[in-house]
Amino acid sequence: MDLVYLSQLLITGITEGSIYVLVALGTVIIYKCTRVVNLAQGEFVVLGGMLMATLTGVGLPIPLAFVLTLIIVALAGGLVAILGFRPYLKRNIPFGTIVVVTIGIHMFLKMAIMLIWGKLPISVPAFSGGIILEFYGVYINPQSIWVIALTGLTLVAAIYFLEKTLLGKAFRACAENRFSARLFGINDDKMLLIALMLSGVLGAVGGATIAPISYIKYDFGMMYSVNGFIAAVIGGLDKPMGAVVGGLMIGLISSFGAGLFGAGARDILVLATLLIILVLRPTGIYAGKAGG
Amino acid sequence: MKKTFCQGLRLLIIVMISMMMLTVVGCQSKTAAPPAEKPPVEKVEDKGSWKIGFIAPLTGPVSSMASYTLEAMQVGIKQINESGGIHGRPLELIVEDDQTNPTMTIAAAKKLIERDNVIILNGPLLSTFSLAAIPVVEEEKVPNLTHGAAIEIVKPIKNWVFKLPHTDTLIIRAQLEYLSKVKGVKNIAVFHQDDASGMSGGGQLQALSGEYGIMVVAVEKFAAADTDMRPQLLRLSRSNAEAIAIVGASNPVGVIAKNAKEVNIKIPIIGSHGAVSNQFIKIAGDAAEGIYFIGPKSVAGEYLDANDPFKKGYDKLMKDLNKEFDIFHGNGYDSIYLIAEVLKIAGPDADRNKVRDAFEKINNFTLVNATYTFKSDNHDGPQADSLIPLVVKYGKFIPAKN
Amino acid sequence: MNNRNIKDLMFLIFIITVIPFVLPGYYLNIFVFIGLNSLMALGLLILIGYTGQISLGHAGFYAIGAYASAILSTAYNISPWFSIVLAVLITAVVGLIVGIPALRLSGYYLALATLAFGLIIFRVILELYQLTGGAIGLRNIPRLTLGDFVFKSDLSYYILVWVVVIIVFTFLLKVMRSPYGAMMKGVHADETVSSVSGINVKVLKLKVFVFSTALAGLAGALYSHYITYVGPDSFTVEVSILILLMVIIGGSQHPWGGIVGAVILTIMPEYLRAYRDIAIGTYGLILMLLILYMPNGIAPLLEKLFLSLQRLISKGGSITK
Repeated sequence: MDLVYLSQLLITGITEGSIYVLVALGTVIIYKCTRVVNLAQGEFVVLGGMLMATLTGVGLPIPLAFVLTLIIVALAGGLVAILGFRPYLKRNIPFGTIVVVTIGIHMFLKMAIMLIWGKLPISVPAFSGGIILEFYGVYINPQSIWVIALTGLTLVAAIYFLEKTLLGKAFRACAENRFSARLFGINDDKMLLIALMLSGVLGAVGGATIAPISYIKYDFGMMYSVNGFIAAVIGGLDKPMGAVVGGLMIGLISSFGAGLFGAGARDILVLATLLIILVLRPTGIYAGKAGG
Repeated sequence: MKKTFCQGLRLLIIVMISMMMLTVVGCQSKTAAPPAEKPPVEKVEDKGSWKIGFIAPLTGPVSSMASYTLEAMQVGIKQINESGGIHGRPLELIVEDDQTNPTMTIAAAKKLIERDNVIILNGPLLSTFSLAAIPVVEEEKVPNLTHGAAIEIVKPIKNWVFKLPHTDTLIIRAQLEYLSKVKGVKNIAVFHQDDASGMSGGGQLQALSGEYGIMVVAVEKFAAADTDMRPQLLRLSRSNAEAIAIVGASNPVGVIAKNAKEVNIKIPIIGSHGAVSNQFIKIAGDAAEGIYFIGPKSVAGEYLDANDPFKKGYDKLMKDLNKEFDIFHGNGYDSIYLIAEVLKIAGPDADRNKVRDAFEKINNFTLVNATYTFKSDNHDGPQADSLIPLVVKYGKFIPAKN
Repeated sequence: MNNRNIKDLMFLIFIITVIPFVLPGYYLNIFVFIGLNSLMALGLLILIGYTGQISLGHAGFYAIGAYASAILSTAYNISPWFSIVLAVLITAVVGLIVGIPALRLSGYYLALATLAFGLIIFRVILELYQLTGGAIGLRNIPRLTLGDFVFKSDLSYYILVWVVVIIVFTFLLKVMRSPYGAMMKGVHADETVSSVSGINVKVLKLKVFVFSTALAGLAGALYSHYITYVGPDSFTVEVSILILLMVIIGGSQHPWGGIVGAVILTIMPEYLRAYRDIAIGTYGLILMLLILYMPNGIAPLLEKLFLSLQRLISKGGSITK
């Protein structure tokens, strides 16, 4: 197996992995805030792709379309928080059951997307044209660079938000310990809104950037949700950095698995990795801050 | 003891009454519920119409396939009913959604057969579901014009099952023929979907390639929802294959085309009839140019000669279709005209048995997608004469010259 | 066996006997599936409601039961009855192998591990196509026979499946309403306290898990000899989620939860079929509303309904006396 081939697989892996990172991070954020795993996370990704397609379709320049997409999905996230999460959290329903609620949210969003955009696959224009770059025999789709770059930027922005802004710090406090945060006057509902809106934006960045590489379809959501969940668990369900590690891991295993052993091996390798981690180190492989 | 028994008895009586009520209410709504798809024409007399059952994955990932088939069926039914129906009775289509789940396919089949008393079952779509329905139609003795392409559907032959789309064997042979005769290649790679049609097609490519002097040097698989084929394509490009033969549906094959362009695959790529739709072109975009396919002439219908045997049917369909042609439109339309012909042959007092027998009298019946012949020892309808090599040029499918 | 159990059983037996007379023939097909789903739901019910575990991969065990019985009775020519028994055993063994490491986890981790298991089984079925027929599946699975009688008709299978369900339900009712059941609930509520009280928590959890997988395997085996065709598309992760929903909607803490959930979630898609495009969203909404207003599931409410009806009648009875 030569270097060119392996490099090709590496790039594919990081590209794919970036989306999983974004979804996993969104999952972790919501989990830390509510102890609920959101299985409707993937729908934000699909929304991101769909909105980009529509907004660029009506003639908006790509950067504007991108920003608008993020805003709209953030609003959608807010709606999900208010209608889909808050009523249940207020009633102290067990967390496992709320996950089932998120399945219901997923179904509803999937239908909404289908009614708006139809059942057919939708193409999204590439950000910087379709010319493939070549680098010593390795072919790089410029869109991959966009995926990786924008994911990185989003992560940096997210970290900035969480570490440096007042709102972000309040959010972290809430995520760490809801009860004490409440004692300090931090508004629960507001934090829930932030969690969902932030996760929505993260997912949307993923969808908007990766859709041009192949296509986007209304029923892609669950696949992203499950992979994001797997990535989050591998990294440690309550560790944001773990989500990054987990997401990249899954992307790479997926790409190298398919590339080295054939398509059938892809799923099995990812799942086997998950199972091994669960058996050996269920709290996740990222040795970040202990506890959560 | 007696008291509790009396209580139990009373409970039983209450339950009995409530159950009766519920089921009466339930029965009422059941007859009102799933609405039958009535042809968009004058009101249909229930007793008088020929009831045709149709099962399709109207919800789920391949629902667009089902919608196209259904649209064209409705065009066919409208045309036939407007010219007087068959033996003076109109055709009526009763549609059931199997939700892309083989268990539901069976439930749908039973409903159509027993509740709606259909004289013939049209569909299911896709080999997996066609195969699932076979035990039901064989047992209930209902003629079934099925839309799956895998050869297992008619080999071994089943009494009541008749196949509508081209068998993948014909497609595979056409692919191999084209590659060896026109492109002159000796080594190929096989890239197929991991569903029933794909597995069947991929297997046959490997089994039959020897007959054409071709050797299969690499085999890869993909899933219907895969959005990244680069790993597999890279693997294939490492082999000494001179061409890639694909068996799969529009969405993944579209991605394959796109990815192939990205990783600079220069060898010819030829796909099967599962992907000759505009969806493929939409997804692949520029990368669709120059990709070959084997498909029925109808796919390039606009470019056919006026005296081409398939042009007439194509024009007749397109006159009322008002949409871009898709191979599934062809399937739907042909299925209705086949059924109409079969009913004609079976006579005004046709029943399921007569319809079944009538199928075997269909000989060289040319419609849109194919010329159909059914014999008592061969229920595989379409002949190969409508299949041609196609290529995508300027965003359209045209007959391939070289 | 106490009164309550007898009443519950009589009720079930009564309904099952009445249905074939009241509903048209092709509905029996649906009720066969309700029966099979009930078997799986019952297994998941004790797992979730009574020992507080979860499984998102039960379709995997369903698949193992179905394929095992199919392969044994076709390729190895084993009599279908026997192959069903073997299939259940095989499923239970797999359940044991999966259970031992998996049950060290809990909550989301267990859910994910079982989810992964279900997905792996799906993949394995596709990959081992020499054995399983891959995407094409296995056909011509022999039907069950009893002397000259073949279990072919919907009615015969309906009776067969529901007899099995009733037997299993009887057993579970006894267990759930016995001190053993209370013990299981105790484990659910607080494992530490339970283990201190001398209950071997690990063994108990494992037993329940294996039992629930065996039930799924049984359902799968029965399925394969009914449809006479198995294909991977019947054993997707959606099926696992569906069974889970049956338990949650039916009521995970109530003995009737499994059957009630199975009835609702098998029939609901049938009705919603008319509204295909919005069906799935409506489904999701109904789910959300149900959990919001009836978080303990529907079964407890139905029970209350019947009890109040009963009281009404007995009051009426005592007045007429």
